Amino acid sequence: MTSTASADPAPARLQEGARHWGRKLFPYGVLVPSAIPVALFGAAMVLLLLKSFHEFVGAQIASPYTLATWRHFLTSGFYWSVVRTTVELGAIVTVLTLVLGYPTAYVLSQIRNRFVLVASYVILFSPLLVSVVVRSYGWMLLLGQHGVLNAVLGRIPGLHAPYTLLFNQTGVTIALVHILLPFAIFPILSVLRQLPPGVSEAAEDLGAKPWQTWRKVVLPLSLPGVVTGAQIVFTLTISAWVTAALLGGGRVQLLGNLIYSNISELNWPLGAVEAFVLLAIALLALGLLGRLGRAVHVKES
Amino acid sequence: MRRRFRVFPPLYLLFGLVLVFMAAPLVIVVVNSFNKSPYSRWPPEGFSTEWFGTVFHHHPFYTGLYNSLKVGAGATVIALVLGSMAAYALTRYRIRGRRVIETGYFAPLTVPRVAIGFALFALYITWHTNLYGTIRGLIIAHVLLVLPFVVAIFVSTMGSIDPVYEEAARDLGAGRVRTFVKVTLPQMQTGLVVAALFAFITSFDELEMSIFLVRPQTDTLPVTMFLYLEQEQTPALAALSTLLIAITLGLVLLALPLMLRGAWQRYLPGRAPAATVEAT
Repeated sequence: MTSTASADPAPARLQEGARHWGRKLFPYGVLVPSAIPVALFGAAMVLLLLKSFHEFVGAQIASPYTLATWRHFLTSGFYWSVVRTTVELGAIVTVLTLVLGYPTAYVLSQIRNRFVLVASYVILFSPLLVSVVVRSYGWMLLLGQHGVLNAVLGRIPGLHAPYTLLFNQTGVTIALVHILLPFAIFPILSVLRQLPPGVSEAAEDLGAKPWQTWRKVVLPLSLPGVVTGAQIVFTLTISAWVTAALLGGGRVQLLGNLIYSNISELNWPLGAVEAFVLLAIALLALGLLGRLGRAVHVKES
Repeated sequence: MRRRFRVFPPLYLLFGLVLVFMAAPLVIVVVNSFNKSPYSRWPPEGFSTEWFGTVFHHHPFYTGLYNSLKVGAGATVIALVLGSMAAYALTRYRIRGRRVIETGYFAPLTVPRVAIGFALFALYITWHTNLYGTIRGLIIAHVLLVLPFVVAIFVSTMGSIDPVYEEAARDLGAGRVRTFVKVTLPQMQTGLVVAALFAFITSFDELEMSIFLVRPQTDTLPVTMFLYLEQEQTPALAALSTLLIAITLGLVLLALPLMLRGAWQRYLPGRAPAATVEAT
């Protein structure tokens, strides 16, 4: 303790110190209320992870910790086939939405007429405002045995309508492509809109054909949008169990459908294992796609 | 007008087909709500408006609508308050561990909604919180779901507002809260509208998570519709859907002048929030 410090009037120093800390801690205090739901979410996830290390015996959850449920899941052919269906559907829907979404976003970024543009936006993105149940129901009407599509196809000679499009993977895939297409168009469109027009002008002035300009210049620059779109669509597809339940008619089982039925059977441990397997697939896909995006980007530039 | 990239003509055809593909299921739902056949057969057996009567007499739809509106309104208000506070701290102050905090806010986005629903269900039951099957419990879950989007929109909005006005207000003696309410908030109108609409719509349509958290008396509208559709497929559901589509379309048309002005476009796509956070 030096003499100069002790000469300060103590209460004033204390007040000054409090004010200083008040200023420093203020922003963290502002963050606290919004951290509460996030903390609750974290707690819920930890709790669920703990539940996965129990076993469901005799219609109730046994208390000792065990790896039995995980072992049961990982050694069963049935669960692996569900994992495969989930990943496969995710991959197919992702590829289809990108194949349809990229040209759509590309044309959309080129439309000059303001009314055509707004009309296209409304048609492409307003389905997002309509419940997934309604959209799945619309596809049930279109794809059913006595639905619109089969009625139309039945009039074309040479086709053997009615086709079975509903209550199998085809129906689920079509409906999911419809539901998730806007999520693929969004990020691609955003990247295309940000590309400076000079980029392709330069390529064309240097003699590149439109196709070459797209292939060598526009596509590599828009890949980040493609990767983001793939990440969003894949993660949403693998958890889209409601559409699978409605259009799959029980024949298309995703991990989410198993979770739903496990909970109604009170088998929490198995449901918890499935939830974390699903989460692992999502994180793995996000990581891999992100990595792929960076790798391609580096190679092209 | 500046020339951008050239479009290969067949792409316009594909574009048109995609538009048809996107509109088809909604158009067919509207048409089918006037279908006389209770089995939704095609072509329709006759014209009828009786299914709208069925909707108006089906009690669970009212309960569902009422619950959905309550949850949507509650979740939107709470998410806007919490989200604006978080965005304020993130854009106006140097925060230690900002990366970790942001990861926390965005974590619910990477977790499948089924898993979130199940996890919250387990938490509500195990901790004896009296939240399972209540509107409060649903509101908390929906706040969690929309908070990342709301924070992202607000961070982007506040990041683009020059803090010079806020500093001026502070220099003139206004407190932090007063400055925020009188100076910051009025400058973020568009962001507020976009965030509120987004939060409400997300909450109103949420099903994959909510279904784990409801009891029959707290069923939201999507849950009611899902359970109804699993049982029967009469055009009554089409009639209800038509009403919902009409309301949605009405709102879109109301928002059209705003859309034509183009102010909304910066909120549309992509990953803007992260970039703005780094820029501020």
